[in-house]
Amino acid sequence: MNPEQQQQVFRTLLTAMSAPGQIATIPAHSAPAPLSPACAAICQTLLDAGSPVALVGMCAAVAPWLATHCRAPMVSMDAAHFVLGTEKHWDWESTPVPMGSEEEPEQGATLILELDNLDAAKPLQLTGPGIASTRRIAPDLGAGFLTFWQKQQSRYPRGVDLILCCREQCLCLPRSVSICRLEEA
Amino acid sequence: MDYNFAYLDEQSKRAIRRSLLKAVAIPGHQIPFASREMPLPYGWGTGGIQLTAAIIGKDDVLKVIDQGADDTTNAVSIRQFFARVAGVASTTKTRLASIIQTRHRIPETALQGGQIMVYQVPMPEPLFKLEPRRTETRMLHALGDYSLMYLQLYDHITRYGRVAIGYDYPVMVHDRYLMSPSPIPAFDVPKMHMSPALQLFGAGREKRLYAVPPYTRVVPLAFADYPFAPVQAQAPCAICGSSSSYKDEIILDDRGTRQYVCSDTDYCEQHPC
Repeated sequence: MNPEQQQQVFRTLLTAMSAPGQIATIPAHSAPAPLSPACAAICQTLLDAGSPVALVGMCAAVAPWLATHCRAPMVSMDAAHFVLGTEKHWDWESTPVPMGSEEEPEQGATLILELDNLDAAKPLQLTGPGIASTRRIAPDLGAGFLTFWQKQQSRYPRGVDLILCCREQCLCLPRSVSICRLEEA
Repeated sequence: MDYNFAYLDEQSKRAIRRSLLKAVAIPGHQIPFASREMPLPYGWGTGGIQLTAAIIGKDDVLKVIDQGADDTTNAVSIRQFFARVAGVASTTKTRLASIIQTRHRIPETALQGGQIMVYQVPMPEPLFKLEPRRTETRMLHALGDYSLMYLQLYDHITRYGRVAIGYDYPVMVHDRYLMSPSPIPAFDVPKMHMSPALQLFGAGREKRLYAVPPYTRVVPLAFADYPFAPVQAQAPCAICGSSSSYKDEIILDDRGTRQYVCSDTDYCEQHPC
C-alpha cells in the first residue's frame, strides 16, 4: 500500500475510533494476505518496526506476511502493543492482554480481531464519548465479552481498545465506551 | 527540492497516528510522542503542524487561524507550509474546512461532524503552574486528584472575588481527566462540550498529544456557588456590530481610547453590518 492509501485508511480508522460502533468501510486494499482485506490494510497502515505484535490463534501464514509487509517484531503477549486474533479462537476470560498502568494507560494494547460478522449477533447498546446519545451494534463477539468489557470499564483508564474486522469493514470499540445488552438498556 | 507528502516521513507519521488513536480512546489523557524537529521554532505550532501532517490527505481543505485571524503571520506561514509540502487546498471559511489548525481560538461558526480541530498547545499539563514535576502530575492524573486546581480556584475567589482565569481555563474531560484546553479564551470553552467535531491537541516542545472525541463531556471547573462565568467585552464589534462574538481590544491612541473588533476574521466578514 502506498502512503496515500495508508493516509486514507488511517483517517477511516480515526473517524471510526471517534465514533465507536459505527461500521466503516476500509477504502484501500493491501497486497494479498492471509487476513481479511480490512485487517490487512489496517496492519499495513499502523504497524512497523516500532510496534511489537502478538498473534493469538492466527494461521501460520500470518507471521511471515506481517514480517514481510510491516516488519513488525513478533513478541509475547505481555510486551505487545498490538494483538491480532480471531474471534473463533479468542478466550475473553483467560487471555491476558496488556492493559497499561494507571499512569500510562496508553500502554494498554490495541486488539485487532477478525470476526465472522459485524452486525448479525445479539444487539448491544453503546454510550460514551463519540456517541451523541446511544448507538446499537451487533458484532459476533462470543460469550464472555460483556463480562470482560464491564470488568475492564471498572479499571478505566486502564484497558484494551478493540478494532473489529470483517471482510472490507471495521468497527472500533475504544475503552471509553460503556456497553450493555440492548434489553438491559 | 521535493519533500515527502506533508513533510514528515511515513514512519514518523505512523508513530503519531498510533498515538492519536490511543488519545481518542482515552479522552483528555496526555500521551507522549516522538516529536520531530520541524523547520520552525518551538512555540510556532510545531505540535499542531505534526498532528496536521499525520492526518492530512490530498482531498482535505485546510483552514489555519492564529488568535481567530486567518491573515496573521503564524496562520499564513502554516497555510503556505502545507500548500508547499502537501499541495492541499486552503480556505478561510470555517464551514468549508475539513481540518482547522488553530492557535488559541475556536471559530465562532459552529463546527460540524467530520471536521477536525487541531490545537497548537504550548503547555499540555494543566497542573504545571501548581506542580512543576511531571512525575508528580502524572501520579495526580492517575489518582484523579485535582484538589490543587480547586484550591487555586478558591484562592482566586478569596483574592479577587471571582475565578480570574481568562484563558487556558481548566476543564474536566469525560468526567475523568483534568485537561488544558490550550490557551483559548474561557469564552470558547463551552464550544468544546459535546462538539460534533473531533478535537486534537499537539504540544511539540513538550512532546505530548491528547484528544477530545466528538460528543464528549468537557466541563469547566467551578463551584456550585461560583459557577463558570467567562468575562466578555461589553461593546459590539466596531466593524460588523456583532455583540455575541469574542472581541480583540485595540488601543487607538495614547489617551486610552479603545475599540473592540471580532477576533474571528472569517465570522466578522460574513456577519451583516
